[in-house]
Amino acid sequence: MMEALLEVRDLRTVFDSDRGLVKAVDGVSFSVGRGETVGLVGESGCGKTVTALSLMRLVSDPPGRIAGGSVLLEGRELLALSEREMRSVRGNDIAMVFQEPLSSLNPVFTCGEQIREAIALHQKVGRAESKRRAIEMLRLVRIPDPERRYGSYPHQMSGGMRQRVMIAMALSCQPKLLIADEPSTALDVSVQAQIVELLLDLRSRLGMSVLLITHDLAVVAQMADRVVVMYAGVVVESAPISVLYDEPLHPYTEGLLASLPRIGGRRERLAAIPGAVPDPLCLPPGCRFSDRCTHRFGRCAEEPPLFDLGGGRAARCWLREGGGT
Amino acid sequence: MSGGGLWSAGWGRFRRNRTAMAGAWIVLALYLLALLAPVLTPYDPIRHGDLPAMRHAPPSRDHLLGTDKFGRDILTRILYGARISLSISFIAVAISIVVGSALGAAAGWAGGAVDAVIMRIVDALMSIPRLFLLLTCIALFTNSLWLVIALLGATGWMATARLVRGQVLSLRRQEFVSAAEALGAGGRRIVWRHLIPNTLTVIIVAATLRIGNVILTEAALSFLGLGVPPPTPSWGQMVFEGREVLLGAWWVSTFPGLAIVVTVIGYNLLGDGLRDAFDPVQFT
Amino acid sequence: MGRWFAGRLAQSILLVWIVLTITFFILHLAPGDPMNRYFDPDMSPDTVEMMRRQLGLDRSVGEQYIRWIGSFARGDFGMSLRYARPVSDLLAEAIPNTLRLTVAALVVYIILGAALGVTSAARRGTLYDRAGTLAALFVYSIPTFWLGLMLIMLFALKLGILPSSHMESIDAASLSAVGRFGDRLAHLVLPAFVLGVASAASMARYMRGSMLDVLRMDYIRTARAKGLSEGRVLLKHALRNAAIPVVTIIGLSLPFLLGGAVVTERIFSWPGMGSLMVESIYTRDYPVVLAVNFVVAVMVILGNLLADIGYALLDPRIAFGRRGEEER
Repeated sequence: MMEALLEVRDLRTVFDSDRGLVKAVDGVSFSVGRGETVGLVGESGCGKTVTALSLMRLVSDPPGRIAGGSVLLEGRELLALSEREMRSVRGNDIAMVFQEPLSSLNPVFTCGEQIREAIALHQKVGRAESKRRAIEMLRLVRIPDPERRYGSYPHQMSGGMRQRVMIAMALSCQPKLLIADEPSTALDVSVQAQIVELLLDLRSRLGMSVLLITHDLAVVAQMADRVVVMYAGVVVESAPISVLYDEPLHPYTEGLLASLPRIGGRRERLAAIPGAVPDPLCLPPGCRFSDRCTHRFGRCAEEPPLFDLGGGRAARCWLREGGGT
Repeated sequence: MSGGGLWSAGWGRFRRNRTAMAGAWIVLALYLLALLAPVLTPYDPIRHGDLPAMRHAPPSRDHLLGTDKFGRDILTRILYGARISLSISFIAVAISIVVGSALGAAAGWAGGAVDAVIMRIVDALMSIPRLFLLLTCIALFTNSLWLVIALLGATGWMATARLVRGQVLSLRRQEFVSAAEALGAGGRRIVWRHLIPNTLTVIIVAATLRIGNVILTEAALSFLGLGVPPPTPSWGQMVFEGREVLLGAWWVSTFPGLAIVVTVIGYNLLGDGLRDAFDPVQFT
Repeated sequence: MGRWFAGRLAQSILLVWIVLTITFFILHLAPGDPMNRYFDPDMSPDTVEMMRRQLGLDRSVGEQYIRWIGSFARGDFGMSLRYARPVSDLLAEAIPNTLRLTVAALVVYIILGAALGVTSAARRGTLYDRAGTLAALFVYSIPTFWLGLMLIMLFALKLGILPSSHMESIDAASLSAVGRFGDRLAHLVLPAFVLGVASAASMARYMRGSMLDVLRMDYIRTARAKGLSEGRVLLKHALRNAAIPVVTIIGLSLPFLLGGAVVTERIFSWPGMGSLMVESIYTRDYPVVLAVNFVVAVMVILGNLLADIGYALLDPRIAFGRRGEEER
């Protein structure tokens, strides 16, 4: 039984817009155990990135703010920390890798400097020592000729290398939790595989927990131990990786898996889920997925709670009421 | 999206912006005051005062803003000076706009060598600080009111030319290509119908802001004694006249200067407001 | 990078040439005999005729033009009618003074403007921000000459803490080196402030806008995610990026700064190019007028070139362009 490193309970994050209140994250709960990799999955706009930003309290305020819930890191309530205390958590206990490595790196500073800065800040060492450690990090993420690359600017590197730099920057202070937001999505397919492999290697070497945010189910399959599926701001299903792919319990998950192209087998048309993600300002009453769900029935007019189905499985669907399958 | 919707949406935004409305009221008030100057004040702005004792008199009930060294009522001179400033700046900017638009449109439309030549001239002229250029020209021609207006106009068209050229180029890229394909010869008419409203707003915004600038420039010229020839009252010149008596009769320089400040603020607020309302694509 | 620089340099030279040509144009467009521009009306007709031939004014316009360009390019601006000295001497005396004033004003306005702009962006939407915007607008609308007079009235005449004119006190020669430096500095305060404050207002606005744009960028989010303090994020990560486009603005402000120097120098009796210009107009000293006009334009063009170089140096994407090797 793994003790939870991170526990998120009923997190709510909202945005004030002139068209109304956008409930981007509307009661999300999940946990990440030590050394565990959890995949947070969903289409764009479902609130997964906002969830990640909320964990680090990086949501732009205004117009966004965390409206409720609790985020416990090793039992410590992050939402109650002062800004200063939170700063010592960021980059140190929890680190984040962003999706777009080119725009996420400061163009006027060298890559090495951007890594060194984090080290000098959290590990409280001098310039020479932090530079040495930064070069070590570059070596760790398999960037060739790290001493020379230390002085390179982001625009002088390829996309894959930039992402490695981002990873090096995030891991430089050995965080307990790494949040990776679509780490390979913006990269070429061949490079994607390299990055995933790098993350796997680093994870086993450093023993950290990972919260992997992505819409790419293939990447999740490679890396995650458990999966949490989000839709329109709430968790609709969570399960260990193996059972999720074999036996999805929520119609949305079913749809997602069905729309994955499969190599080999019969050539069929890709089954896309009909309809579109609802506008967060006017969600359908009742179950958020109901208007696209093929199993919709009367009960769906009321929003279902997240049913705990045992064995680490949960699903937010009336079909699963009473633990049925 | 053509004419109608653009205007009313913009006006709505403008009305809601309080500082913009303040600017509009200020400008309106100024025009009214200038227009009604003879009605508002019994004094003559040019004739010297009769009583020596009334020279450099401090503000009082008879002379709300005091008198200058010739015993002339300052408030009166400020009101008549408003006529000068407002009309000069308006005409000069109008000249700039016309010349600038014509040249800018020509450059943008014709492209190639014509464009290059015009734009180089624009760059070169903009490298000479406006005041220096004005002074050089004034030195070479005999000074008169109309010369000042003409020169103010002739030295201000460059920015408008750049603006209009930019508009023409970008519109050419978007509309012309698709319109020409779809409608053949009729494409020209569509370009005109879209070109004019869009460009017009940009020009009006720039013009309003420019008026404030021209007022300041004209005031500086008059301050140097090289602008509007006396005895026509000009605010800049009034400030100059008061510089010898700064300690003793501070009102002679202070109030005309304040008049300039208020006027320019009014135009700037108005111009900014117009820009925010009709052309929201810039820094916020 | 070298090629770019050569191109910009060529462009600048082209502009200088166009300025010269335009000035020549205006000169010959003006009514009256150009002869009158150069001569004392009291001279005898024989002397006039001789000088006319000497100056080449009897030649064709085309030839005159070439001589004109040639002499200006050499720095030969003829003789001042009023002082009977070479114009270049007068310029050599006036230029450093104007430079002193303009550079001081630049420093004042960049520091003031940047500080206001950065802090306004950091406190966007607050009272400070809105007050700052209004104050900037107010300042931007004040005529330089009036501001100068008002400040003189306040600080020099009423309070007596700052000098009201000239570059140094009359008895400056008797002061020690440090004393003299302090004296000059004191004389520089008001004029530099008056000249620079309007530009500070516009700089504040641009800096604020640029900062706001930069603060929206992803790399700012990354910096915060690393746990950096907000101050560090602003001053190290954001400012460095925001300053780059602002450098261009500085270049563009040079004409305004130099133009404003005309009036500022008059008010503070500062012996620079502005004073020289105005005086020369009063005395109809045309060679000086034309020479000053030209030199000022060259200063602006040069300043813009420097600003562009500064921009290129500050932005590593331009400085270390595509040279960077790409590896997979």
